[in-house]
Amino acid sequence: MQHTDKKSSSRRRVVITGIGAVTPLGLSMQDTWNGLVEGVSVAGPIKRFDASSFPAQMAYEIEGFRLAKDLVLQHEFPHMSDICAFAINATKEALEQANLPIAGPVSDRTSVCFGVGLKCPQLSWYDQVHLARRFDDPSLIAHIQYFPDQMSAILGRLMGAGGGITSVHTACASSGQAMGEAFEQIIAGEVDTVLTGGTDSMISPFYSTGFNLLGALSKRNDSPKTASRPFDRDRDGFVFGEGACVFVFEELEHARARGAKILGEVCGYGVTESAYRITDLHPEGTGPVEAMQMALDDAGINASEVGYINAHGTSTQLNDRIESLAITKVFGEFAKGTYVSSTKSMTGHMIAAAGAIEFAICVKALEHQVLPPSINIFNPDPDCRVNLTPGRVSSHTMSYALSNSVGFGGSNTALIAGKVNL
Amino acid sequence: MSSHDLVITGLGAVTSLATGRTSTQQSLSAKPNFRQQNDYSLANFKALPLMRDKRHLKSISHADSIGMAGVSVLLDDAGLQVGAYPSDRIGVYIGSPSPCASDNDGYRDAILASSVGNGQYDLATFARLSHEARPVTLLTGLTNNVLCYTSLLLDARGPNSNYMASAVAGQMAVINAMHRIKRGKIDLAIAGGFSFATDPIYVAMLTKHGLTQKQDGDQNYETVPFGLNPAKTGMVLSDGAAFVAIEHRSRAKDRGAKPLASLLAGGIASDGLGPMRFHADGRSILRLLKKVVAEAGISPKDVGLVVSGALGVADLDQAELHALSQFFGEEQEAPALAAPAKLWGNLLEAGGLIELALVNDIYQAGALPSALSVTLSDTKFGTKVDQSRPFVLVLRISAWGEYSCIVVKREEP
Repeated sequence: MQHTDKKSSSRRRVVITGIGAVTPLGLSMQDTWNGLVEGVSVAGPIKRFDASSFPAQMAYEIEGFRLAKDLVLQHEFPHMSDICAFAINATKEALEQANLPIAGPVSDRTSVCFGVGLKCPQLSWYDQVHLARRFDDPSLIAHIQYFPDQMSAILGRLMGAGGGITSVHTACASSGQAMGEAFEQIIAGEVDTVLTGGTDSMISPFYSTGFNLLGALSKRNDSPKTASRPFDRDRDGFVFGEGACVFVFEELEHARARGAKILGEVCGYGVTESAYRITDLHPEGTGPVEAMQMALDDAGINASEVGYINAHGTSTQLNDRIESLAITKVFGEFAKGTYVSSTKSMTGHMIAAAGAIEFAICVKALEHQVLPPSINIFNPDPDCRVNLTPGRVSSHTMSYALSNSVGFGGSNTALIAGKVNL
Repeated sequence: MSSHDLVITGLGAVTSLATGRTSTQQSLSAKPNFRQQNDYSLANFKALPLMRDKRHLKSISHADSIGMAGVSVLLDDAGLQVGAYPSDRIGVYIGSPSPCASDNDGYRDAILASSVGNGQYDLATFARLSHEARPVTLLTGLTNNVLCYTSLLLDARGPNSNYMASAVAGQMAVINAMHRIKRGKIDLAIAGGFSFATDPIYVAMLTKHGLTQKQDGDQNYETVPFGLNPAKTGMVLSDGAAFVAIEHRSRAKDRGAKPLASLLAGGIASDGLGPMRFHADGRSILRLLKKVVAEAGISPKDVGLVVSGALGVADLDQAELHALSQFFGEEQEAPALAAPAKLWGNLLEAGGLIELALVNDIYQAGALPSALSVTLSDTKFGTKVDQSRPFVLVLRISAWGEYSCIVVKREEP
């Protein structure tokens, strides 16, 4: 593909000035990164509910989480789900790092564009309210938590967003898509600062059954820590993760003018539809191929300049094989200098938040010039013809990293992060 | 004025009043006789006869079936088939409703059998029985189903998105689609939204939050005040779908499609005060109006018609009215002001879209039909549509303090 140097054009540039995370690896971005560098898997038997009779009994669960309650107004609590709580804490961390006020003045140059997860229905609620048709049940007041834009509205208050609040849901591509749209909002000059990212948890009886019926979950219950094994020949499905990852995206000159520390640059975005099947990728990987190529074109860089790809890498047979094929179509087989990993082996599948945490890992990898390790690869799948990162963190000189996301429903996103080099 | 000459070339409307563009046009002069919430409901709607691909109904929710019916109607109205545009130049942008409890009905038997009383469940029983459900049960509740199946209908493989933003979701989809075309990312967009807001749990929940119209004594939806009236006590929720096709005028002409209106500008704004909190003076709405008019390259005096959001929540209606009054100022003659809720209720995610394709009909009539009119004292807004002011603002207001607005221009007679 021809290199078109948009980096030198007059296009507005978008930088990252804050990152916050609440993940199974840690309750902050730094703790999450530390866990990644150590190559730790924290998966274990599900504690949230008794899953011992379910075919898939494990998850990467967040432990020790405490909501920053002081950030929530009393009237907002009924609007707030558990995944909203993750997002609030991550927002606090991101805003503090960006040196922006929390719940400060509202600006029409500031927006929220967020990848929203869906609150899990509870068995008792479903049974005793929905099936029983008890429409006078007092608990119905909190049904508003099932409106995902409620959490975005709360984040909008914390961000002081007067420039619009956008809630995106395209399944596992949600936060990748939200970040891409946030990026485009700034480039287009609609706003200067966007709070973006995603939050989700699907660790529940409903979703456990639902994904298992589709054959998507690992059943390696005797070894939870090694169950999520993207690109391993013997992988048998994904393992649920949960959490939130939140960014402050900012126009470069705006960030410079207020002296903000710049953590990385958002360089390119690609988004496509596979238009194939609702749960499956096209056998030739056309959707992700087009998304990655679009992101490269948007960034104005060549494929060879990308040093690290954080793959969607769910650990299902189909995804990893086809995604690998897609990567080879864009970057070449075992492309020299381009390494691939899926950090879902350490975070689990954070669904609507997956794209956000994985893009954050790209930014940290560029900052530290290291490759996040691939863990749980005991027998590399020979059909996955990519350079997998080593099992331990390793140094790698690189300027760009790419994060892929693929969602049920066919949406594919690719986001390119650039090393701070301004 | 924008150098992009984008036009709307089709309408896929499904409401309790009408299905399809022609029926919807005719409904403008109808006198709705809605007396109760159920009259705005599509709970018994059958999408099958309208579907382009009937197989798509196998694993989607009732809400999705309303949406897919709307998309199918749109594709017929716009004369769109696979191959009309290159696949990678077609974008699909959807405003979707929040999931319904009934999306999980596939697990109903397992839940009932596993209940041991007092809100407790034998999860071993649930695990065993729930795995006898259809494998696609999870997919019924996938909120981006309509995005996916619409893409399948047109082999649309370009940029896309799915927004969950309640009353502004559908307009958000159209605005983002329009911007993608202007930025050269796509050439054709299918955009719009759908709602199933009369789901009993939605209604009950929003009623508990004080957001729905009270029906006291003999009062019913035929007699309650509509449209920016201070006596209004809440939303009248309704179901429906509304989708439009957006493309360059020249490309529409090449394929023989008839433009229904020019699409000029659009934007979103928010109060940033959190859910269900908003500025009573409508300052964010005013800011939004100024922004979209600037983007369209016009001035308030060019606007002949405003289709208000008129949510029905009295304080928000007053905020909207205040913003509109300020925007049009004291001196100039104000445009006609329409409030569509009386016709088809508050379509939530599908709201503020049908009107985009019907502006010509309203202009040709020269005045607002009574079903769209607002009867307000102390305001300068009227019902006569000034033919020399061809621009229209279509506003949406959300109870969460979020707003959207689209600027269209009527087609030349």
